[in-house]
Amino acid sequence: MSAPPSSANATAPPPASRIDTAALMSIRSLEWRARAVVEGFWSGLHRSPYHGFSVEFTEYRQYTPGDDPRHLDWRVYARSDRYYIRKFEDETNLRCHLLVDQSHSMDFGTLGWTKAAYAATLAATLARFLHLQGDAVGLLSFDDALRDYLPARQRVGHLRQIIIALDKPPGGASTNLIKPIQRITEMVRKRALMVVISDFLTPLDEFERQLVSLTASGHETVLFQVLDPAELTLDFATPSVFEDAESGRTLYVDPAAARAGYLARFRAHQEALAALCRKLGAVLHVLSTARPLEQALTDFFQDRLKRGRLVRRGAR
Amino acid sequence: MNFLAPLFLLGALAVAAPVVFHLIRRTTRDRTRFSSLLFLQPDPPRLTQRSRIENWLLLLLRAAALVLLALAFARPFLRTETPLNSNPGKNRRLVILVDTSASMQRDGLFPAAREKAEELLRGAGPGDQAALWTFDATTRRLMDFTEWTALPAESRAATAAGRLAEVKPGWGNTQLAAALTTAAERLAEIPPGETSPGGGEIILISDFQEGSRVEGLQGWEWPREVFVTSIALTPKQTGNAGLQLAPDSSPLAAGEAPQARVRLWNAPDSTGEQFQIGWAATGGAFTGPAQDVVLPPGQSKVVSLPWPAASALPSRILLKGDTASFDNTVFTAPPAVVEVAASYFGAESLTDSKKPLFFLNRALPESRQVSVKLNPVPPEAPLPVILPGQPAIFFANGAIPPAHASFLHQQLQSGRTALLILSAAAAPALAEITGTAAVPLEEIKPATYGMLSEIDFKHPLLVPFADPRFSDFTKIRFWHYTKFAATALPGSRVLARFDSGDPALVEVPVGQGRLMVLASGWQPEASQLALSSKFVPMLSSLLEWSGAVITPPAQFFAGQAVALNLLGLTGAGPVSVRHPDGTTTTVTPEAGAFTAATQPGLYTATGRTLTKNFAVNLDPAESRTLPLPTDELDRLGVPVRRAGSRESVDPSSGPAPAVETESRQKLWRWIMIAALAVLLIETLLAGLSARRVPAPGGSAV
Repeated sequence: MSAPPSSANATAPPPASRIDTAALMSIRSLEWRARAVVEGFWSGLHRSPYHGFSVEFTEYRQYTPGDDPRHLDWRVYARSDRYYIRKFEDETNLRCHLLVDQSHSMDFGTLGWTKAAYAATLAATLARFLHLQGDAVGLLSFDDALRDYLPARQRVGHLRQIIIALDKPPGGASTNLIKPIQRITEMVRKRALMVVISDFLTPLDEFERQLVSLTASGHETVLFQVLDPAELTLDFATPSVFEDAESGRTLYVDPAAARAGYLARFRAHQEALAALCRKLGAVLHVLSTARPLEQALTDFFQDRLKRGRLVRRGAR
Repeated sequence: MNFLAPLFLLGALAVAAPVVFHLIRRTTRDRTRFSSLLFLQPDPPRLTQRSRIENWLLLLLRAAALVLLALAFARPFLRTETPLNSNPGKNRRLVILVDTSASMQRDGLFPAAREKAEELLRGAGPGDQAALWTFDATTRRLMDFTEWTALPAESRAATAAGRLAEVKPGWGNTQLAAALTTAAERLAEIPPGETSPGGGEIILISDFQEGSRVEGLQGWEWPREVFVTSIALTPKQTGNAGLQLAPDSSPLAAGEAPQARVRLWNAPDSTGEQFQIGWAATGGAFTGPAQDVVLPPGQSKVVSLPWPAASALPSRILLKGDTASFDNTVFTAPPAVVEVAASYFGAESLTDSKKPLFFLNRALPESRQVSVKLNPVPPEAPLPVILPGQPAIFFANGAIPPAHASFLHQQLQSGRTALLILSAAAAPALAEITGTAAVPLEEIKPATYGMLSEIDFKHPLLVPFADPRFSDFTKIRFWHYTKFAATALPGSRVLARFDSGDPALVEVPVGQGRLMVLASGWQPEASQLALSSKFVPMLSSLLEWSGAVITPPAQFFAGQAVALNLLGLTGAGPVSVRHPDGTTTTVTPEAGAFTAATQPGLYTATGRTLTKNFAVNLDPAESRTLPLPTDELDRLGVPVRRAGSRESVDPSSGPAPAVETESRQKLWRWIMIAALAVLLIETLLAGLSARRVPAPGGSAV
């Protein structure tokens, strides 16, 4: 279950069929953004070689006396003349917790939208998709402290609450990944899918400890690292005073001179993060905010397709 | 190299701006918000490298453009010796012009002017030629070049100063343009024994008040060799209020008391606004209750003062409360109504609306100064009594008794004017009046109507209609008229003809007077003349031209020539004019005008039969004492140097005026062209270098 995180993945050109990221991000409503991505994703599935995969496949089982006849699938009966019981959404046992970083460092973007908006769209898309699949979705948003916590549920209206929580503007003085992971580990005892969406632009030492505890609890852990293209290349033309979005600290930087050092340190950080994920069995997806969200979803589900059943089986 | 506006050179300091801007801007201004500084190392601004000037050529071009612009604005010029000073040994020629207008009566102005003039006279060298002139409404030469050079060198200045000491500022207005042009022409003359114009300097000592007449300089070509140095004198106290007669020409309404109307104004730089105005006696005290007037600075107001009922003695209106008193009195002659006797010979009634008399009675003009009394003279009536010199005019319609015609002939012989409406029966009367043989007359009734044509608009009677707006007589239709041969009347002049070619209006000289023969009546039965808009103006014109009505101006201005005909004193014989101070001047008929009205006051002109009072006042322009804009003379093309430095007062020691030299050389134009060329090269270079630099932009990830 090694993750294939790479900037190569992140910089791949989007397929022509994808919805344009700029057009998508120009939609003001987060709910409609998520809906557009999910619907695009579904329509993409029909042309996709990965037809039919999902997090949890809804299935049927044969009717046995004692089952509630209300749950009979009459269409199947009409076709096959056999009684089948349609599996209910309640019967799913996949629980997904979205841990979304809403710190000020996410409030940065050079493409016309911020990393926070992109991350919120990604989280809302995942939540909607899983919700439609009948899985329970929860949310824990954080900055330097915990912000909103919604336990994983599969209830009508729950998705709406998640989207409202995701739609809040970024805040906080810094990114603190420790507390949310520590808290979610404490609160969620049953094994679940933990999706952490952040830029992970934070020292990794303490984070490693918490991630260990998360994976050790048996949770399947997926990290989405959302980065702006400028963070990947430090492509600024003129020297200027750089101001830290979180702390407000300023630093005179001449991008031309500082680029090499920056990229070296950045790559080292990325490699350390990837190595950490590999070591702990977490999956890391690095997403540039220029990358179409559907593609990110496809990558995610491709990866799950490879390993998902195993996990699911294990979960049962 | 010298500069006309050297302060603009400070603009060259702007050269430093691009460099400083370059150094400062890169370090501090731009701020970039970034997600995290985790991977960025402190990188102190490396001024030495980043702020290094990369394109020296561009910088130099920009700096050169700025320096050139500053240089051009500083108006550089090269000092060259002008023809006036080409020969340092050449003697100066200068005309010292001293203002003696009324405004120089203000406190201490004229003594200061005299002092300046004396100083200049004393400074003249033995080889110099100086002339000392004074001017107000006229220019007077106290001493000219020829007299100056004829005098011994040591006594020249003293003689000229002695003459100036006898001069006092008068009451004339400031004819500055006339004085300057006269002096310039004098200096531009070719001196005896030389081949080129002498040239020289006019030193103008004046208060340069706003009311100075400088319009005459407009369009006058100033001689190149003549320059003007102005010495402006300023009074100790600014501000002035003045007054001016504002005569009313409308007829007096019934029961209306005659009033004198005066316009008051207060200069913008005045400090006071409380004034008193009223009739005054010679001593300067009000003879009756004075009116209080509040007039803020910069405003004017018209005040009416009822004429004192008692007598015509108080002929002056006085203003009190003003700091400068020279223009605070106006004189006005008592209102006099000229009565004109208009006699109408004809068997008509004033109430018969079908006859010419009815319309004449209504059309004769009347004003505050003129009253025309129409006297109908029926055939059986006795002859009217017309006194010699009494304004009179005569009208006659058709056949009149021989006695009346003979009377008219006598009146015309003595210089009066009559108008005869012709009819077929008027042949004997016409012959009697003109003193010629009978002229055959024929009644003509055109098939439709007759119109006037071939109108002689050059004749004084018809001059008022010469303007194309008023020259359309085609709307006046004549139903019938009397045809006669104008050539049969010796000396006659046809002023208008009918469209058939027959004479309509003819002037026939009779002795000293004249007879106007109108071939048709003006009543509606004969023509539309009385009902047209031309009738009343034509009658007025006839009255004025005949000399029956003379409306003298309400006032004359000091220094102005008073034409005797304006006063109605054109009769034979000399006219004696008594001045306000009691002296008397006699004006011969040949002179035609009284030119000694140099001081304000009430003058009395006495002819053989008539006596007329007329008021002479100060020109209102003289009361406008605000300083003339300093560049006014420059604007009018006069090369002026302002006094204030030794150099400017002494023309021989310095070169030609900087303004004049600069405007001749116009170096700034070439510098501006150079600056534009530099800017063009800079633009091209900058464009090229901008193309070489790849456009910055974020790569899509």
